[in-house]
Amino acid sequence: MNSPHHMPRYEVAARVLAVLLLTFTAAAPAAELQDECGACHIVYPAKLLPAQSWQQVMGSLAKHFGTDASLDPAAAKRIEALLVQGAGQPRRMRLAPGQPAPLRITEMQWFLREHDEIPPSRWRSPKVRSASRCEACHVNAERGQFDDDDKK
Amino acid sequence: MKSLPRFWRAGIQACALVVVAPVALAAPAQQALLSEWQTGSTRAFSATRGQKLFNDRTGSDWSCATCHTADPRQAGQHATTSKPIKPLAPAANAARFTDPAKVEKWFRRNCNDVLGRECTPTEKGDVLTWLMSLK
Repeated sequence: MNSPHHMPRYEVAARVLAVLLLTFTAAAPAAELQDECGACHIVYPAKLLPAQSWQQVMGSLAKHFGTDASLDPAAAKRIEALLVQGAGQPRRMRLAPGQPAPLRITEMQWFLREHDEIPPSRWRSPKVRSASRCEACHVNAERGQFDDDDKK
Repeated sequence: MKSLPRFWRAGIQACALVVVAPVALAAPAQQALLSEWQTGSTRAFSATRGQKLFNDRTGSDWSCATCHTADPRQAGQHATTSKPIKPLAPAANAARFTDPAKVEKWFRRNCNDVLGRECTPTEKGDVLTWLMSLK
């Protein structure tokens, strides 16, 4: 088995280790985002807000929609980088140039348009209570899927 | 009973260690937190005061019990988002109070939400002492 085409065993091991390490270091911030954001609410897909909004959200975690969600600054920076990287494009988000982006997904133009058929009573029902609870209606929201067909 | 081959015996011992170790290590972690808070406190910790603080709503609309329930051996639910919260009492959830950074993070956030300020070492010690007294 010692043909010249075979890598020495230590090199195989080193390559396997390198791949595992790279996979782990790439997956770690994603897992961190899942853990930290998901500790209190569903993990909203980054594409639902423009980068500007995510930067403001991550820069004001101590006052996060009525609660203190403050985080170790280094962790907040890592999570912010991921959110900004996956953020929605301002043009697709229908933000005019220079227009400030809302902090709430529920105040985005696209959100209001997509939900304009929902009567106020539905939002207030005990099963929904808040428009931030995507999962109250979208059964696959936890997996980032919001198809109309999935609705409860 | 015929003794197991060495391979299987080692396997079973390893599995047992994986299951038992977190439980065995949890208690020292909680004691370490209590010792640390005790150095920043002039009073001995009190489970009675801990329970009172846990249910106190004088600082805001929320108490700790609003989300964690008045019996923290039970699962709770976030008051705003309805996200399920696992039991807080170590007797019901051995993973609680085993990661000091996580403990301090949540005390900081939740005390700010409930009391409008951070908790003192005495308050944190009182609450953990009460939670550890629940069996």
